[in-house]
Amino acid sequence: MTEVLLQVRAIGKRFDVGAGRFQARARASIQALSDVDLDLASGQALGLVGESGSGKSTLARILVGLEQPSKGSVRLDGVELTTLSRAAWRPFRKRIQMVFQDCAGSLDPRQSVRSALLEPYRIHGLYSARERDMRCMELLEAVGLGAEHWNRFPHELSGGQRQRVAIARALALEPQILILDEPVSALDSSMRAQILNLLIELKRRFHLACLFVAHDLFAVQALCEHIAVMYMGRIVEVAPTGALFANPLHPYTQALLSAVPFADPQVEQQRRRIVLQGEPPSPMDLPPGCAFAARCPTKHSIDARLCEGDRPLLKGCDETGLRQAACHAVVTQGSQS
Amino acid sequence: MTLLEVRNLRLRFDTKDGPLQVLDEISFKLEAGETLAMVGESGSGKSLTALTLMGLLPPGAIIETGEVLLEGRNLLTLSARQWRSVRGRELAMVYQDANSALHPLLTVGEQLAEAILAHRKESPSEVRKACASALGEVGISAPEARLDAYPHELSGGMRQRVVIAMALLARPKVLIADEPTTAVDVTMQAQILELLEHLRAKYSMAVLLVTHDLGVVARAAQKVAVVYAGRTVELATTKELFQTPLHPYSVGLLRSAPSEAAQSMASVLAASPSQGPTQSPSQAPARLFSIPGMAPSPARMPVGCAFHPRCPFEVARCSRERPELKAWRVEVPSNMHTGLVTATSRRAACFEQERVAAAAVASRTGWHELEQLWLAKMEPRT
Amino acid sequence: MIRAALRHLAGLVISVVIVLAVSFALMHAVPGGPFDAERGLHPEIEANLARAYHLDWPVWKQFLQYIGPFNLGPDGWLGTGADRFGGVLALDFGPSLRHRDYDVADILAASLPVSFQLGALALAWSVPLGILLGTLAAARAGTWLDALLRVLTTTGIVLPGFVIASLSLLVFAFAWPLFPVAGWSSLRHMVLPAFALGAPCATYVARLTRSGVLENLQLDFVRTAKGKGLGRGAVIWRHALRSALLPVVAYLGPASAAILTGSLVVEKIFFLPGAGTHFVNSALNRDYTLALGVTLVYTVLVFCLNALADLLASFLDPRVGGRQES
Repeated sequence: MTEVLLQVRAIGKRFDVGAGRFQARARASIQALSDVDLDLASGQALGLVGESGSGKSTLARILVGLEQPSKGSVRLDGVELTTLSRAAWRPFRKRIQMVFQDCAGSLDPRQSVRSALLEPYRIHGLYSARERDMRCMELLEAVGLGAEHWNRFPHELSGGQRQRVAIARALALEPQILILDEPVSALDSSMRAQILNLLIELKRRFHLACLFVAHDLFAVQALCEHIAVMYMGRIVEVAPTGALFANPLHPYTQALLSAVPFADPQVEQQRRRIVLQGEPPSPMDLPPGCAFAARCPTKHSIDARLCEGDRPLLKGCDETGLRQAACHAVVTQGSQS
Repeated sequence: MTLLEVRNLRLRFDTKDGPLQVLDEISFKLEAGETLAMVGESGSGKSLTALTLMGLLPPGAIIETGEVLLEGRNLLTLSARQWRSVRGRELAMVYQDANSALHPLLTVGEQLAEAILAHRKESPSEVRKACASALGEVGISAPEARLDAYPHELSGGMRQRVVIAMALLARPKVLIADEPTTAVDVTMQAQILELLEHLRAKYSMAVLLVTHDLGVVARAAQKVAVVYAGRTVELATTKELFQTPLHPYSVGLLRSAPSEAAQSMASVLAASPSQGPTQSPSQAPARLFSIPGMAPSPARMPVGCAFHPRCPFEVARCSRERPELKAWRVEVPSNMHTGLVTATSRRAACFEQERVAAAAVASRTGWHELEQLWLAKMEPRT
Repeated sequence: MIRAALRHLAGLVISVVIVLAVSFALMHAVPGGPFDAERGLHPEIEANLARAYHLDWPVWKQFLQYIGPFNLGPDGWLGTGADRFGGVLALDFGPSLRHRDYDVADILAASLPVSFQLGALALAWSVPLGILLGTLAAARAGTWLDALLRVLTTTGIVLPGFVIASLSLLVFAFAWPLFPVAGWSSLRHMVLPAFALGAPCATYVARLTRSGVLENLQLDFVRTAKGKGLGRGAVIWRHALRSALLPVVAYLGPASAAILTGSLVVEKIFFLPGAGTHFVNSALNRDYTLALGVTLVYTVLVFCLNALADLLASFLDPRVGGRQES
């Protein structure tokens, strides 16, 4: 077992909504995350996949300290992060860095590439001016940009190049953990492949632990050894990447997989497609049972009352315990075979 | 008669740094009841083509040559008044970002009603009924109640459905969908594509689907126009394109898309015994293919074929002359289970079509060689 | 809704108390007193006057007395008998220290209606016209009409009020006697002052509208509107203008308060008995009670009009105050 770097246990997050200008107290609260467990090991990448509103970005923000969890613990090398003060966070911020989806928004439009890359050093007061410049050059090279981009501004770069700068900036402080929040969703397919290749290479070179948040299973496939699928704030399935693609257990994972269109018209014609109907339930009013029950295509094959009344827990589904799924149907299947 | 035909559309912007040729001979044909996908990278001119068809070009755009024929009538010669009766009624558009495409201060019902009232007079109650049924048709539950909702009160997926309903209200002959699924997640994408497909079949509409995602093409389109640097480089049926791409750019695009091949590769990985969290870091994940180099900017377009600097099939001619979009009439020796590819209505703008086609057919058994070719091509440059 | 109203009311009371306290303190801190102008006043008489108006008390005591009927004096309630002063809480603003025969309330009652009428008239023409011209300028952006309107609005903003007032007098009362020069008896008397008072507002509204509409014309929802086949008119007036009105409404809250309470310059030039004059003169004369009374009215007015503007904005913009789904 590789050493676990970041350990997430039973994280829950609740947002109050409705406290607006004409409303003094919150009308309701949203359960964005419940009972999320994760392990990140160095040199390993975990994909976190789910539709928008499933809580995956909230989790990412909690891990980098941008958000406080309502309960649960996040430990980095055994140190509890959730209870740290802002000042005590500082040394850890160097070790966990984040890359955002909207790289146009996360780069200051009036800041050149150079000054964007120097900023982390300035903030943390590291290295001499000469050394900083040298390190920035190395970073640029590492992300596939050259000296000619040194003095450019974000609007002079393409979307892919901007994302490269954002990645370079995240790497500046030599973090151990990289949180990637939909880093390729805004890019078109050829750009996407380039950035993914870059991430694969960087992960190997710097032995990074990565959490890759995305709504597209195929995006995370290339980089991640393991994938966790989220639905309505809960992890519903965890599996090694290959196993998940070969044999998705949770009906939601199956639907997610079949939703991605393949670039092959013949396969597309023959493929069994599960198009989920309707929308996820309101996070303000989650059903008592399985949150997916209302949209679940296999619910009726087992006892529907079980799914609607009793929330399935994440359980191991094979001998190794590496595959886990939170579904009543899966567990019954597992015990039969 | 062809329902919609775009012929040699050329468009430029005059800027203070000189003219920018953004569309350089876009051509395609669209028949009633079929979906044509226009595929290309961002910046290739897909969206501008869509806007040209709607007569919604931004100020400063100059159409140099070309025709947009809707049932034989050239739309580019219409007056502003005539345009108004075409827009929304004969051609309607679904926009990429439903969030910004809807007016934040008007209710869904008010915005839908305009799509009807812009073209014919009707009583308010009839308009309301038509709007509600349009919302129902795109799969929005409780449509009556949603009419009085404001866009911000709806979820992202519902907003996109509202935009589709709005486009459908006037029963257009051609629906232009500009990246309708780029801003939504995969689950919603599957729903929206299914809806578009259902509506196309039901009303035998023609759909022009603008996208950069070949998976979307494979799922939703019967025909494809591949666009590179403002130019149609290949026209084919979807099946033909995926079987035998004739343009090197199409080959590269196809290769970089998530396909079944990618999935089966993943299954192989899964079957290997070393899987697990202890999967050794040395077992490097396969690199994804992407076409080396970058698409040229309109300000610095290469002479000759715009793709030649990135093309592994480049010959001396490519950097001098520009290949026309010409019909393809060469037969390729059959390979595997493909059979003969015979003369069809396919067109591609490449001098080396035969070589490309042969290589593409061969690559179905082993992509490796073609990839090596590509890498070798880019080696001296980097 | 009731809760919201109560919250607004509480906010109003707190603001009024703060504004009054600060003004009171500042006014007493400034050297000079209300009777300085009456030259040659015998020191004893002045002392008597000061005593009569309790100006010999410490400032905090005077303030409390001004606020309400508190029992502060050695002999029970402050002031006795006929000149007993109820304080602001009893809606009594006291006697004017300068115009000693009048109460502040009398003075305000006589002058405020004039200012209100004039201000309302000024707003009534300037806001719609400003919106109209601004939208037209945006619709015809880059044409001669836009250029002309830009010159006009720039002039309107740059020219001081007294220049506009004097110019309009010169042209429409002297050179071409359409309207009376001064006075306040009929609607015809109001035309020129209302013009002079409203002109800067009209130009400002026109500018805000123009830039708002132009900005909106670039937005996606306007493209959607065009794509439906709507005509240019509907696109501009219904779609682009609607959201451009939000900043105009926000501007009009405080701006209309200033216009409704009158302008010294316009009132001086047209010899109008409005409240704007008192605003300036009371401060110059250290007429403490009148100045405070005017300030109080102005504060309440600004507060109410801002609340009104908020309300109007929330009618225009359904997103205000609601929950935004992402």
